[in-house]
Amino acid sequence: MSKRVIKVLQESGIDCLPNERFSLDVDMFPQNGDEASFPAATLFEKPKLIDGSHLIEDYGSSFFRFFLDGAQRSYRVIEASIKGHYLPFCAGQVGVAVLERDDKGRFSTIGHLTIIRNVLAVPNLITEDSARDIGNRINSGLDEKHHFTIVRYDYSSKEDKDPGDLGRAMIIDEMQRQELHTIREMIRQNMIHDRAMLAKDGGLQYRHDKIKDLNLSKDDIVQLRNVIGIAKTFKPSLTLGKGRKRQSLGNLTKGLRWKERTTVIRPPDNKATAYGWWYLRLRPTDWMYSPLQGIVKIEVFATGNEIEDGISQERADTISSYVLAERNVTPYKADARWATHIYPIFLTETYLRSSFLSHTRFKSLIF
Amino acid sequence: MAKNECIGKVTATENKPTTCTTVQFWLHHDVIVRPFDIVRIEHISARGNTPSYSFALVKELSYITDSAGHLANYVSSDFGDVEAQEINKRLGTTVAEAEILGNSENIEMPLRDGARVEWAGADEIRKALGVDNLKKPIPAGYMETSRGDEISLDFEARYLVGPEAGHLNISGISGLASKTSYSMFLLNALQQRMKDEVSIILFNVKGPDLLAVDRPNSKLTDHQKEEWRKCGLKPQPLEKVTYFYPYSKYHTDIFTDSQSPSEIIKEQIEAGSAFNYYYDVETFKGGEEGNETDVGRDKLSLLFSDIDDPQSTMESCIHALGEIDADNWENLRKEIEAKTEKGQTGKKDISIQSWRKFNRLIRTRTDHSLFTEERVQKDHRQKLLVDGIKTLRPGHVLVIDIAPLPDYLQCLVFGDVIRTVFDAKLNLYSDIDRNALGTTVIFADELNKYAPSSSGGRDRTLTRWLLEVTERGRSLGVILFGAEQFRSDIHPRVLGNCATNIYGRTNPVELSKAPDYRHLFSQSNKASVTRMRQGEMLLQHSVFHTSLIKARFPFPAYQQLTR
Repeated sequence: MSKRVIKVLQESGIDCLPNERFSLDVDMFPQNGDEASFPAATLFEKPKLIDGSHLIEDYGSSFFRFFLDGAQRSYRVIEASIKGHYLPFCAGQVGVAVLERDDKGRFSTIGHLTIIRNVLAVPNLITEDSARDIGNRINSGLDEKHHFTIVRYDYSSKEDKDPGDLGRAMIIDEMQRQELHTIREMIRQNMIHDRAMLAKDGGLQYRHDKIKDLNLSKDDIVQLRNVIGIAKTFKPSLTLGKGRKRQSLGNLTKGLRWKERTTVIRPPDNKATAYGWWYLRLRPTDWMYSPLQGIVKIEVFATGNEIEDGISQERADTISSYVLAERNVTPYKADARWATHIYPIFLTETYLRSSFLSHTRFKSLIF
Repeated sequence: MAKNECIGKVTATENKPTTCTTVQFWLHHDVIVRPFDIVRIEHISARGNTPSYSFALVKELSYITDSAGHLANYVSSDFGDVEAQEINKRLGTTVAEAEILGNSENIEMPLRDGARVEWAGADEIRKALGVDNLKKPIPAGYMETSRGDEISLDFEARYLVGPEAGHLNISGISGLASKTSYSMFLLNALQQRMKDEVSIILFNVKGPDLLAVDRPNSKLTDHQKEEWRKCGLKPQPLEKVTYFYPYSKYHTDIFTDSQSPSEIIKEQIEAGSAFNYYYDVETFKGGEEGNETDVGRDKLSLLFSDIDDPQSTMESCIHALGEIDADNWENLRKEIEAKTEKGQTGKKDISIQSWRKFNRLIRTRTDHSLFTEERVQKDHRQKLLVDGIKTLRPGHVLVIDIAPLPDYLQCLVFGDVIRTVFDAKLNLYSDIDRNALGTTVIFADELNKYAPSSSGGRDRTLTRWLLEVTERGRSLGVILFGAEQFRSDIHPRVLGNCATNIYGRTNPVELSKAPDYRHLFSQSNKASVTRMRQGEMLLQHSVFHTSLIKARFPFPAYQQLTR
């Protein structure tokens, strides 16, 4: 039998105790974590939308062919006493899966693009070399598919934050890196193009350094145009515009009629990583229990002239019509977020979730 | 064994595990399967690396999706917009439920989740069904698989016509079930395969249906001929057939009321194979000298089969009649009439009124050309049925036309024949060698007339005789092939003695009435049996490894006469 993670840590001289609160109470599919950091958004569409909203033609077809979802499941597993500090070790699984839809509307998985990894987040009181050594010792006794990636979190970076949350943030970071890595692979394999676009669950608001890490060539970077983020949730308190025209997002979106979208917006400091987003009402308002139910947030990368000029109205309309076409069938009753969920991403999420190790199995790797 | 195309994989879940007898598998979305198809499934082996194979018969197919309910589908159409188009197909698959028939290594462990499911080959299917290596196979039809394979099916003779098991019953609604066609196919198969062992007696009960069974069907197409060959038989009519028509003193050219075209009867007369049967008084006397029984007088009671007689008055009258002295029908009627007069001597257990009723019935029911004395003119071609049975030999067929007769006379003739054959097998006739008859198969349509399900009262004479035949007949070599519209109308003990049962198309009301359908049939079998095409039957036979097999059979190879 392979050595448990806790045993390896103890042998490495770390005084650790199992955490009684081996918590399962985590949000499995966090999205839009960064959104709250924008104080206000600015308009980012060319030409400007006079009314602030636009009715989308419902063509009933979509060029989305691939659907990507990333997920993580993290636990605060061990409390350790290191150099006078009492800090948590977080462990989790991160994964990315891609589903392809054929011309008949049926789905299949793309095996080599489905990646699930185990991650152990340790405080940066443990040096990089020590972390690498611990990683090697843990992995030497495990099947390759169960190998752990060791990441270090900066326990002192945000004093008001629980160190466990900081550890978990590093695991989420790993998930995002994996998402981008998969997108890069798909672009490099020429899978993504104008007629075979990728719809990704959640936003595209990756930190600039992550996009840079992708190391895409000039030709490849063009294909980021064909990667679309579809987010199910957004913060209605986010403000748009300045001065008297300033209004909250909830106010802007609540008036959207079915098949209408808002104008494209972007964060005010969006210089280096150019992207914009807008909101689309996917479901008829008559059947929604709140004015904001059934509205999705669509995010796109801006490339070429769009970085300066803003997203073209045509492109926003076309992509909106694709998303609109994805509204049926729905995971009604199967998922509480059904009104803003598109079915292919729901399936990708379900597939990915079913590929994760069970809680018991994962716990058995640790203790 | 080489691997075949994989069409699906076994699925075993917490709620629906695989068992020794059942398995579920999901199907590749392009594969077309139907109930009664047979698949092979990879299984563990006791011999190391090479897998064993289990064989399973598909019983039920269902399509499941991830939809949480009908409302989810309604919502998925833009909240009830019937014109809404969805570009995403909901995740779904067809799941087949199948019955395990056996394993190549006799492994009975439940199949494992994820095991490959493949089409089974023709030889494998025959083996799985238990129809290979039969000692004496009798063609029973052929089955078609969804893949397009055609597999011939056989009954085992020992279990069809004895001695191990015997008797057959066919049920199905008129016109669509093709009961008579299937019976004739099977009798033809028996004649072709067991020429030296089996003699056949047929009753023609409606129109001229079975009155040209030895004349080839000139309308048989090449495809229909090929169907016969698929079953391993020649597309030919029955051979060595003798026809017995009910005698009539009218119709002076053929002396019968038969509904068969007279030119056909004349051809049969020319060939020496057509006779007219009649009843003389001797038939209703006791048995032969030295073998006296009450069987003759019992036959008289067959005339009252349709009379409600809870006190058995008619039966009592017949027995009180004692030895019949009369030598012709007129004298017999007088003999009976004498009992109705006042001032009778001896015991008076039976009232005059009862005798009068008996007399009245005897007079009306024997007022038919059938009840006559032998004429001296040979062109009347009169022959007693017992004489026809005497000359019956293996490979020969006796067709008895009872279609023109009223119900009570049909019961008389049918009862008379089965009793005579049965008694002959018991060696009660000195001039009939029981072995010379071979195994006698008697085919009767409308069995419900002769062996109705008991209504709580005492079974009638004819029903009792049929019970005797089905319970003791197979060891003696008397086999009953019965057919009827509704199984629920038949005496359960008669059905219970049938080792082979054939189910033709029936109606939903019957499905809820007859116990067989309720207990033996799965939901898909029930659906199947209500919409089967002509030429299709569900077969149940002792040697099959499954309860029901859906089979096709060839179009009749004899000339089908119409009125």
